[in-house]
Amino acid sequence: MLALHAVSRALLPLLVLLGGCVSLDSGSDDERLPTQLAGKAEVLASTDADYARAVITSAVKAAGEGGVVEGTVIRLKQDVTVWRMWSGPTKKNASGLTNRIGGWWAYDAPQGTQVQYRTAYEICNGWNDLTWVAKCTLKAGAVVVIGPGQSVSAQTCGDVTGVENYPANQKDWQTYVDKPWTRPTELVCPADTEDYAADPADISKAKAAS
Amino acid sequence: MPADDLSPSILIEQYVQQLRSQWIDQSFGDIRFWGFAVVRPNDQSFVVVSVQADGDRLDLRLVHASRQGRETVLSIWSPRGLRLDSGRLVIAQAARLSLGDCAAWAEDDTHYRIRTPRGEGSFSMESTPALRLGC
Repeated sequence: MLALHAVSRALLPLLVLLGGCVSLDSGSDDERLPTQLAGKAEVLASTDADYARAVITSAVKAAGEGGVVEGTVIRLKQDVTVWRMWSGPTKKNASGLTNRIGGWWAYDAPQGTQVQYRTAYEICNGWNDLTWVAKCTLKAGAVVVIGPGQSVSAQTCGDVTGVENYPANQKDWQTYVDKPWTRPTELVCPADTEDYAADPADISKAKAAS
Repeated sequence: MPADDLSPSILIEQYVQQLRSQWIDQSFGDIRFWGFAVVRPNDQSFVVVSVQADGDRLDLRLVHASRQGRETVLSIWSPRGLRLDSGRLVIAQAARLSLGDCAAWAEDDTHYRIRTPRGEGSFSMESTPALRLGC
C-alpha cells in the first residue's frame, strides 16, 4: 500500500494533466498523518460534523502569506503534547497582553537554534521574539488543522531591507488551533511559571541564569 | 451619486454607520496594511467594539477577541472604497494607516511606506487594497 501511495504521488502531475482533479485522500489515516501523529489522531472528512470547528480557511494561505500550504483537519484520539515559542512574560502587545497563547503550535519539541526555528516555522521577527517556550497538551477530542508551513515574503514581514523571508517547509508541520482561548478543554496549559526562557543557541534548553 | 463621489465628511459618516451596523463584534485575525501583515495571521484574534470619525479619519477601536486587555485604535486617514463581505473588511485606498507602533502610508500611486519598530521603508502596492481585515 505504501508503495502504491508512493507511485500515486510520483504520477500525480501526469494524472492531473490527463484527468483533472485527483484525490490522494484514499489512504488510511496513518498514511495521511505525519509519523509523529500516527495512531494518535483521525483525519476528518469535510462532511464530518466537527470539521468546521477547525476553521481550515484561517490556516491555509497563499504563497508568501504564512499559515499552511495545505491543511488536514484532524481529531485527536489521545492527548498530544504541543509546544509554542513566545515573547516572554514581560513583552506585552498594544492590548497589554502577552502572546503566550495563540493559534500556531508545533507537535515537535523545539530544537536547534532560535534562528533555525524561526525559519522552520516561518515566523517574522516582528511577530514573535521566540524567546520563551510553553509546553501544553492538546486533549483527546481536540479538532485542529495540521500542515506544512507556507512561505512568508519580506513584504508580509514588513522587512524593509527585503532580506527577511521564509520558504515553505514540508518538513516541520504547523498545528493551527483556532481561537484557543475559547477552547480551554481542548488546549490545556500549565501556569507560565512552567515555561522556560530558551537558550538562543539551543532552544531545547533553558537559558543559563545571568 | 456613487458613494465615493460624496464629500469626505459625508462619506466617512456613511462608513461609520455601515461599520456600526455590520462590523461590531466581527472577529478577525489578519490585519494587512497593503501587503504588510501587522500581526501573525490568525495567531491572535480581535473584534471592533466601536467606530468613530474625526474629520477625514476613521478610528476603529479593537479589543482582543478574548475580551481581555486594553482597547487599541486602528486609524485610517482618508479611507475610500469600503467593502464588507464574508467576514472581511476591505478599504481600497487610504492616505495613512496606524495601529500601535506600526504605521503605513501611500507614498505615491504605486508605492506605500511602512514604519515599524524594526525600521522604515517602501514597497510596491501591487494592486492590493490599503487595508484588509479578515481571517
